[in-house]
Amino acid sequence: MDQTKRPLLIPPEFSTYAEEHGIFDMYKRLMEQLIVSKPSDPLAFLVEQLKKENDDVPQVIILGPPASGKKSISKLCANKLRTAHLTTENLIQESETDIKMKVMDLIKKKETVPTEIWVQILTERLKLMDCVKKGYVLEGFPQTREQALALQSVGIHPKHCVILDAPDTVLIERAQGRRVDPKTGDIYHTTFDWPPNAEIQTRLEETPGYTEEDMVNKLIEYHRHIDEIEECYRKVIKKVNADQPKADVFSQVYSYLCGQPRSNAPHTPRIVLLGPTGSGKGVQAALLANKYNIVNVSSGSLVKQSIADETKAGQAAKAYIEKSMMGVFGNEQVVKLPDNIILDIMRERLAQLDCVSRGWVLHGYPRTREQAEALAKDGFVPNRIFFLDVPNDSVIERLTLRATDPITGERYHMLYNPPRTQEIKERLQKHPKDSEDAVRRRLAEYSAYVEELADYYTEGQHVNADQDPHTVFECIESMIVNPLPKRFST
Amino acid sequence: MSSTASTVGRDVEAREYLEQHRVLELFNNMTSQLIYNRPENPKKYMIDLLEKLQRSRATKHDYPCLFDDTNIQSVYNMLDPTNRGFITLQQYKEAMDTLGISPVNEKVEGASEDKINFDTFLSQARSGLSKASATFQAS
Repeated sequence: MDQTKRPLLIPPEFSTYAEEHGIFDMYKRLMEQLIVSKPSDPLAFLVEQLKKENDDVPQVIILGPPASGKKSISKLCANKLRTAHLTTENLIQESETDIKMKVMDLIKKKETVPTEIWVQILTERLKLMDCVKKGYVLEGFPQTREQALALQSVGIHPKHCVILDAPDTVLIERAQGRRVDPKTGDIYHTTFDWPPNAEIQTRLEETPGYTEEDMVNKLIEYHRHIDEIEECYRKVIKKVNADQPKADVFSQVYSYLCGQPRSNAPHTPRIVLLGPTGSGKGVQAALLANKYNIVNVSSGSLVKQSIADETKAGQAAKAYIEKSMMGVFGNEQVVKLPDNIILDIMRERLAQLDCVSRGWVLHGYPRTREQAEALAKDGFVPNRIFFLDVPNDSVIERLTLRATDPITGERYHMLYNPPRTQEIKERLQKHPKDSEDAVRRRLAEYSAYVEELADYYTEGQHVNADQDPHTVFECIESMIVNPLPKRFST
Repeated sequence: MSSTASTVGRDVEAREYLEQHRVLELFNNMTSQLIYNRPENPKKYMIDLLEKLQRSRATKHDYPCLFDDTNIQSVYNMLDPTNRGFITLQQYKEAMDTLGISPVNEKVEGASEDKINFDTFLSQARSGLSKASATFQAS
């Protein structure tokens, strides 16, 4: 066989590296920009794009019928996310003088501004540093499908689009009470959102153009276009019910904006399940391993396996255990092996080819912050961490009522899976590690370390494990499949 | 309908653009560099690489490439372990393919006798690699 021909091997470290730095998504963005702009010198263009450092900035469009609260919500979002706030008015104000003149002219003549001019204004505005570096919240634009498509063709595409929806009657009613503070531009309402400050109260004026007749016309216009625009932004859109108090609307919008769009990047799962004894880590790990064909790495079984296989680390572990003269009970070891022995055993397993290529789900380890740090140092960085939360009483209920039939080997639970006949019930035996004291001791151990683990694993997500296994599994699945929510530094 | 015609038109335009500027090859080369080197700051590394490429485009030589002369030497030695002094045409073609050079220039010196010696191999490999790395529009 020709020696120079061998199958292409991509080193497995590359997949961790690529995931960490988001290489796939970066490529996708660069290609998008290239294809849209088609610069004559792609090399210089790419250098410029890379220097911009604007991968993660929010790019939001907020749409909705008049009086839905677009301005208030956009202002709140722009403040919280610290981005530029663009509205149709300030776009015109801040645009270049000759365009500005043209647009003011058209507005005076009550003509619609043509799409090309809008696109021009927007492209210019978005090139400015504040939009590039910090992102933007665009309010109330595009208003028609034509405008949306024109934006798309120059490559302006939001990462999130929010539509504030409310029934027409509510909107018309709201419009009646709408008041504007001429100094700050804030919008208040006679019934729902009255300003606390008496000084502002005296200043408030009614805005023109919000009489009932005007509203009806505007609403007709809005409904004509909104469906098409929805179609354009189908993948990034979310409708929020605007018929709620402002704070509720804002919290819904904000949590949507924290979520990232699903990426097509290839993804090897490296999952860590943390939780007190009895929270169902083993069950969930088995379900995950089964469904997604990843390797189920249980620290307890690994230790026992390595002792049985008499590997080097296994022998060290065995020696240690024999010295402390305590037995190894079930899944949880009563004796605590020193960190370096456990780390050796884990490293051996996680470095094997099947773990590296298929991914792994780890449970029962790490237990302390030092273990977590050691694991990361060795290069085994998890990309999903879950804290299975379950109250102590449920744990006690789950574990103390467990029993095994010594003859058939079947496991029963007095509440969830009771034995069928009295005969079986009489011969059932409980495992000593399931006694209430033992369980409480293990719970205490867990709660001693869980805080520092939560500190260290900032991307950990909490799952309510006080439900039946399949509900918990679905919850975990959705958290794995969706990208990690972004955290905006406040 | 004009919009479908224009979208089809733009699709074709985009593909032509990518081919003309050899964008896909550029990305392939960048990826191989990234896989091999795994720099701490990939963006900065990519910027460096692109700037190097720009400079080499201006000076017309020294294109950034993963393989250098020693690699070419090793490939040749692997194919000719007994040191006969030449490799067959088939081996030569396979080796060029492995290095990522295509199309392979078959009409090289010695092809008719099926004996390609090291110098021919070296020069062909060098020119092939520079062509593969010069991923920008031929000026």
